[in-house]
This record gives sequence, C-alpha cells and structure tokens, in this order.
Amino acid sequence: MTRRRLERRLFLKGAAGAALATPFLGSLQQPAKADTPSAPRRLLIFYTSNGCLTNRWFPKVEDGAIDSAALAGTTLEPLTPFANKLLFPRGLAMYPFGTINGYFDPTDQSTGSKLTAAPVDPQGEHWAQGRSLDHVLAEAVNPGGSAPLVLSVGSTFHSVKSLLSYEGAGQPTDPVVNPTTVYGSLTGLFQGGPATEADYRVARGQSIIDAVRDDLATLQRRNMSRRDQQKLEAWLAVLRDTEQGMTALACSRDSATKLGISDTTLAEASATGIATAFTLGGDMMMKLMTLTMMCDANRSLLFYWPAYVTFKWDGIEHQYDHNGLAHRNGSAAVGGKCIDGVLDMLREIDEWYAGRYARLVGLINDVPEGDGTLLDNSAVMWLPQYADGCAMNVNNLPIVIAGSAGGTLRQGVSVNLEGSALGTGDSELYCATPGGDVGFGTGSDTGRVPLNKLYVTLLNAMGAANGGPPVTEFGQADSNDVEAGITDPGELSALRDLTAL
Amino acid sequence: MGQPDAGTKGDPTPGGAGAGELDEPCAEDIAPTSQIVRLTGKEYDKTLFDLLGVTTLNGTGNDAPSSVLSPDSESDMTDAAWAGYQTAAAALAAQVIADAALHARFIACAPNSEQSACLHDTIVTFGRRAFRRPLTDTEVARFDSIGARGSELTEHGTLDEVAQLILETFLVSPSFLDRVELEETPDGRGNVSLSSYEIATRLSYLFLGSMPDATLDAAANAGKLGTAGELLAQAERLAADPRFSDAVRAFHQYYVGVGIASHWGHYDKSPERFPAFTNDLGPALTEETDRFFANVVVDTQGSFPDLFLSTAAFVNASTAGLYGVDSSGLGVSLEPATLEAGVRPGFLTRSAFLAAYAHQERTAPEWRGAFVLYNVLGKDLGPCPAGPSTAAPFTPELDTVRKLVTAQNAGPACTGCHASIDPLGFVFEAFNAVGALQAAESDTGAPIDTSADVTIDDELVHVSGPAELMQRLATSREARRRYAERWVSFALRRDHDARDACIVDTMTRELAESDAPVLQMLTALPLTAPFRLRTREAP
Repeated sequence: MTRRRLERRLFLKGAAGAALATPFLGSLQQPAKADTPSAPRRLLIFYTSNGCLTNRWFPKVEDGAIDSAALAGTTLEPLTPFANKLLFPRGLAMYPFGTINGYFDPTDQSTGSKLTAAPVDPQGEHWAQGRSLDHVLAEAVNPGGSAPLVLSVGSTFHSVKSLLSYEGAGQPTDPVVNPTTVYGSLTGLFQGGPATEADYRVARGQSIIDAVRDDLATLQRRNMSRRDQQKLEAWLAVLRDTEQGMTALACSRDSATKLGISDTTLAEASATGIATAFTLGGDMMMKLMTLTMMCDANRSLLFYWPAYVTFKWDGIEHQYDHNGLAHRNGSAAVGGKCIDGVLDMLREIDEWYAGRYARLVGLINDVPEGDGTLLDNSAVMWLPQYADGCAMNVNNLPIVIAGSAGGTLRQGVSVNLEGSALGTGDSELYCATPGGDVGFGTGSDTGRVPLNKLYVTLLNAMGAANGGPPVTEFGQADSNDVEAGITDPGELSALRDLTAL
Repeated sequence: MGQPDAGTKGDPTPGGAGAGELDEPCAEDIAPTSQIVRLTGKEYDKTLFDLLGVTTLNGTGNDAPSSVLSPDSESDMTDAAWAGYQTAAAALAAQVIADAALHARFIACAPNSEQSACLHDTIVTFGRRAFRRPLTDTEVARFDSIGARGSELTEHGTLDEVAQLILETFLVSPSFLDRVELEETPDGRGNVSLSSYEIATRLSYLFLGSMPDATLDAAANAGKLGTAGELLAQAERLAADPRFSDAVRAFHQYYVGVGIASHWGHYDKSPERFPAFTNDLGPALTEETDRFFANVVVDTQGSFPDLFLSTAAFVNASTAGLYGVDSSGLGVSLEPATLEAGVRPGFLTRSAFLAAYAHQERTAPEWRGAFVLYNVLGKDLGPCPAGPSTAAPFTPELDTVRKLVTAQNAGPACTGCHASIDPLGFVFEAFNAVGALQAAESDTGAPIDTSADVTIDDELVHVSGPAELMQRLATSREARRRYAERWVSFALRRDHDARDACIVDTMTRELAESDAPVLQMLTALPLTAPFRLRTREAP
C-alpha cells in the first residue's frame, strides 16, 4: 500500500465528521489503514448487559456498505462520524446456551459462557468451565503473555452473573473498578522512549498550530470590526478542534493530561455512588484504556458495565432497574404486564450506551499512530449479553467492531454471515401501549453462526498465531451439543481484509 | 479629483495635479472594508507561483494547489476549509524542498552558512514576500524559534527538514492566506491611511491577481506609493504586465455574473433541434467571452462602448458556423475573426450569452432582458414575484415566442416587472436558442420582430434590433455607471455600498471622458481615497 503521509491530518479531521463530506477530500482520501509493521494490534471489548431494542439498534443495511444513511435514525447514529471504520458481523449466536448438562439459567450462561464458549458448572457457583477470549489473546499477544486488563465501574459481585473474564475453568477474574488503580499501573511506564515518526508529526502539527494561533492573536489585538473579529474567533475555534485530535502517541504524563487524566479528575471519577461510576467513572475508564493502549501496556482489554443499575443520570430518571425494564415488567421475573413507557426508557438506555461507545471510539481514533490512528491498529468491539433483553435470546446478536486491527478487518460494511435474511428482531412487539401483556416473541429466529468463529477471526487478526498456523478453534463447543465440541472450525473470511496481508 | 489630466498620462512627472499631494474629494464617507480578506482560489494559485514557482500540487493529478481548497467563500473558517489549507501547505512545502530549483529559490543562504543563520535569513527574506510586508521582530522570533527547536520538531533536525516545517507554517499563516491590513494611522478624517505595503498589495491583486512583484515591493519598502505620480506609474506599469489580462478576465466574469446562480456556461440544447450544438462547445464559448473582454480592454485598449460595439471574435472549427464564419482551416484552438458590425456588435450578440440565456429549444426573452436590465443597466426592480414559466404551445394567433411571452406576462401581477424586462429581451429575438441568426420562428415560420420600445437612462426609446440596442447601451449613462461600480467593488473586494457613490461617479466620468480607454479609468482608480484609505465598520 502506498504511504500517503500527508493525508493523515485530513483523516484525523475526517473522524470529526464534517470534513469527510466535502468533495475536495474525495480525491485525496484513502481508506485509512495503518501499515506500520511494528504497530501493535489491540482488542478492546466493550460489554453491555440486558440486551437492547434490536429493531432500533441494527443499521438499515444488513449486508453491504455502511454509511451515514445506514445509521440514520438508529440507536447507533452517534457512530456516524466513524461509519467508514465500522464492521457489523451479522448473524452470530453464542454457544452453548440452553439446558446444558442438565442446567439452564440464561443469565449465568449468557455471561459465563459469553467469552469462554464453555458451559457453566451445573453445580456450586456455576462458574464457566473454560478460559475467556481476553485471557487467550493476552497470553498470545501481550509482551511476556501478561494478563488482560479487565475493567468495570461501580461495585461488582463475585458471581457468575457478573463476571466475564476467566483465567481458566472455574477461575473468574475480578475487574478493576477504581480508576486510580489503573492509572497507578501506567505511571511507572511514563518516560521518554525513542520518539516515533508519529510523535514528530504531532510535534510539527502542534508547532504549526501554535504559530497560526500567535498570528491570529496578533490580528485580534487590532481594533477590527465585529465581523472581522468574528472571523478570527471562528478560525481559532477550528484550531482548537484540530488540536484536540493531536494527542501524541506517547506514554507520558503529558498525554495523560491531554486526555484529561489528573489527580483531581481521578479523584472525582473515583467518588462513590453508581451515578458517578457510570458517568465520570466510565468516562475515566475509557480515557485510561486509551492511555493503556498508547503506552502499549496491554493489548487485550475488557470493559463492562454492571447489569443491575437504575439509570438516574445524564437526563435519564428511571424508577426501575435496567434488568426489570428489559423484561418490560419492571421486575426480575418474566412475563406479566408492561410498565408504562418502558420502550422509551429502554431506548434512552440504548442511546446512552451507544453514546458511550461512540465516545470510546472517538478517543481512540483521535490518537495518531503510524499513517493512521490508534483505532486503525485496534478492534473495539461492542458485545452484548443478549440480543433482545425480553426474549433473552443470544442469537442474531447486535455486535459492532470499530477499527481494522491493522488493516486486517473490513471497514465500513455490514456482513450477513448466515446468507439468508436476518431481520432485526421484534423488540417493540409488546408494550407500545400501556398495560399490555409481555410475551416472548421479541427475539429472532435467525442468526445462528457460532460466535466462536468471530473469536477465531479476531485472534488471527490480532496476530495471536504469532507466525504459526492460524488459529482455527475457540472454546469448547460451537453448538448446544457440548459433547460434539467444535464442529465448524475456521475463521469468518468474509470479515477479513486479506488484501492488507 | 486628484488623478492627473490626460496630459500627464504615461508621464507621471511630479507637478500639477500629479504632484505629491493627492486631492481627496471622496475621503469623507468611505465604506468600510474588511481588514482580513481571504485570497480566492485563483489568487492563491497565482500567489504561490510568484512566491515559490509552484504551479501544481503533486499527488492531485497535477491540479492547481487550490484544487484541494474549499470553494471561495466570505464565510468563517471551517474544519473542511482549514484541512484544505493544511493539506496544500504540507504538500507544497515537501515539493519545494524536494526540488533543487524550487529549493534554491526558497532558501536564502550561501552554501556552508551556519544553519540557524541560514534559516533566519530565509525567514526574513521569504517572510517579507509571504506576508506582503516585513515581518515584525516578534514574528521573526516566532519563526526563529521553530528553527531553534528543529531537532525536537523533526526527525533529524536538518536544514531541509526544518526549512520545510517553516515553509509549511508560513503557508497556513493567516497573514499569508488573508490579505491583511493592519495599519492604524488615522488620516484625521476618521479614516486610516493604508501603509505602502498595503497599497502595494491592493494594487497588485487588482492588476495581477497576485502578490506584489519585486518592483512594487521595492516601492513599498521605500515608501514610494504616496503620490499620485507614483501610484499612476505603478498602475500603468502593472497594466502593461502580461498577467493583467487574467485579472481583466476575472473582473469581467464578475461583471457579467458568472457563477453558480447564473445561466453562464449552461449549454444543454435539444440534440434534435440543434444537432451541431454539442456540449463540447461550452468551453470554447466561455473562452471566447474571456478573450473578447481581454481583447477590448487590454489588447486594443478599448473604451467602454467597445464592450458593446467591438466586432472582434474568437472562433474555432465548432463555433465559427454559429457566426457564419468560414470554418475551413480552423481547429480546436480559437482564432481571431471579425464579425459584421451591423449584426454582431459586442459581447451580448455572441453565442456564449445568447445560448446560455435561452431554453433548450426556444429562446428566453425574459432571461436575456433581465440580464441586460440587471447586469448591464444596474436596475434593481425589487422583488419580482415568480410567475409560472410555461412552455405554452404555439397557436395560430400566438405563433412566435415573443407573442407567447407577451400573452403570458400580460396580467397585472406580471407587468410590474415584465414591462421593463421583456422588451429588452425581444430585441434579441434576432438570435435563436443557440445564438444563430433567425428571421422566422422555426416551428411556425412566422416572421421575427426585433423592434421594441425600451427604457434606457430613464428614457423610452425605440430600437429596431440588436445593433441599435447595442448603440444605446454603449452610450448609456446607467450602463457606464454600473460598469464603473462593478470595478470599484472588484477592486475593493466587497459588495457595492451606497457610500461608493462618490468614487463610482468619479470613475464613471473617467469612462465617459471622450470615451477614454477603460484602462485609463483603471489606472486612475488607485489614486482615489477609498483605494488608499480604509474605514472600519462600527464595532
């Protein structure tokens, strides 16, 4: 691939949205792919619980190019600026799920088996009986095979219903929930290593912006008309936008400061209370994950939002917890009567999470690396507990991946992996009017391609094979017949951009 | 008025009206101008050529540097526009450093000179030209500090690497991208007297569409742009520069209103009706118009009436036939031709105008008439309600476009505007929808009537056809004033303002004076107060 150094800055601006639409960029803009051979690749899993209104979540295109039109009006509209960096692997289901070894609990299985593709223990604490993706990847790609970074916010329970990460069978990993702890693990890495080409480019860019700002400031000191002053102000505002996209890919205190990480903000984000944890805490964790990636302190990151919360922040004021709303009846039970306005409340939650995911993608995309950005060398995957939270189905899962993992994953596309039409589920089948009965028809009958294959694909995209033969299998079962083991090995080549290899 | 009389033209010896002191009858009420005027795309390209010797941007398929910029706009800087400037600057800086000849032109130092001294000299010398004024000490220090931090900011800190960064910085600096007027010296009448550098810049962009040349720079450095003689000498020198022709073309595009909202350049015609009039004629017609104006104003030093009376034309094998010119021996390139004075006088009788201001099959008298009324005579009828624009079929009674248009616009809601517009357009019925002569309506065979009673200079006059109308326009006070008004707006880079009345009157008189060459008015323009002074909009 030709190196097009000069376009990087445009590309950065493109991430902000507006510039992508302008025609003059059309001739210059190339799909951004990082091609620095030495750039590490990272997988970041962003996990949410309780499902979503799938009919609102999925893009309007099931199999084909994703652009702003495909996202318009959907829950994922906040991702519009990154449309050309998104990959929707459509038609996936997690296994094993259902009555396995004589035990069935949808919460335990959808959580415990999600990243392990192994059954949960029918006895005792019901821990999953396998190793999770984040650990498998970390061992393969982290220097020294060090453990993955597993993060959450608020208080978590040491329970199969809450934990996703397993070092081994029956060995769950508790997440770090205190931002200060995460930061402390990074400060030891802060130092001036050898500067990279990207560092110089950022330094040059900053120098240019400083000079332009000085020039504008000189003009501002003149006694100009209001209109002229306004023009100068507008120019300065554009510079500020540009500057925010210029955080150096440097593992330094300066980078931390630019991301907004300081003793003060860490203290604020670490304050108790679930509202703080979800707002300031969650945001801080995203910044810390970005910094972790900039420091290359970990290449396997998992962040999940706790399941049992009542949304009372950012303008949302609910009386029922998310789990109860997902059931549509306001309780941990299923069936029963719809609570008034439940669909609107679910929509609010879905949009809130979409906003958080977009924020995370934006943070990572703002960091230049090589010829592209940190995002281009990463895969940031939004993985859900369920598809629809009322049906509690784990097929036809709503999954999106941002970033090409070093140009190895396709971008700006939704891929129907099953072949036949998938649909978007029917999450609003009940409860459009108050007082109705809740049923179980909100899920999908489609989308049965094993999630295992996506994990295999991601492991290979991350370079987990380390030069050996490609990974072909993940987990213990890719169907509900656990005895059968892995019946459909191999990766999902339809998701791979093999031209980059 | 302070410009010299005809006797001093070409001989700007101090003395008389041409002496050091300038009269300033138009200095009392000057319309405000912006102090930060963004270069247009064309100005940007020409400036880069003069500054660096660069004409194309690598990696764009050899397009002009402005090809990556946003379209010209008076609006605020946007992310997209800024990204364009940054892209162009980065590419240009790399190009210049990589090319030995361009490199030598940019970096001003002797071989073996010390790096920081070399960069400093480059900053001072190049900065003077890039900013169109000497850099202040603070600015020199700002750029010097980039040089001093070269090893931090670039991989190896070499002269070339650092020089490239400095060049890139200059090329995105507001003081380069904007024509900036910083001078704040009051003239005692509420105006600010522009510095010699600012006057040099105004002169240069008016006449050359580019940055000041070495002679103008030297005059500005020496403060020698303060007298009528000095100004006139420079204006006449610049008007003799080959690049002046481009500026004249650019002005006339502005004058006739070439732009997104106009009909100019739109030549989609019915292939059944006009099989020979294909879309590829468009560029030739556009070029013909440009060359016509350059021919009148520059090559032949023509007068205002010549715009409407000149028989000069430029045709190629495809367009010659439109004018009944023998096309044998002609190829793609345009060649001069002389048309009949009684048939094709001036730019309004040429296909570029006539075909653009016509429908696909039929003529559009309303469009042609409105063009003359608004763009040539400068009449503003105020808001005209948009009426239905139908392509009514011919009938035995209504067997010409003229009759159809007359019938359609006969209602009381229409006559307010169309009574002024349509008669002017009917005169052009001598030419069909592609600008060829027509004596009869081709659909019906009915004879064409080109006579009309038109209002010019507030007087109702009868004209029999295009040639008579052109005679009237050539001597019209309103048309002259409109033309002068557009030049003033073009020179001052802003829309017309009521406070321009004094300078516009002055320029109009200049045009009218024994039908002096347009050039004479142009070279007088820089001597006027609004060109040399500025005022600021109340904050």
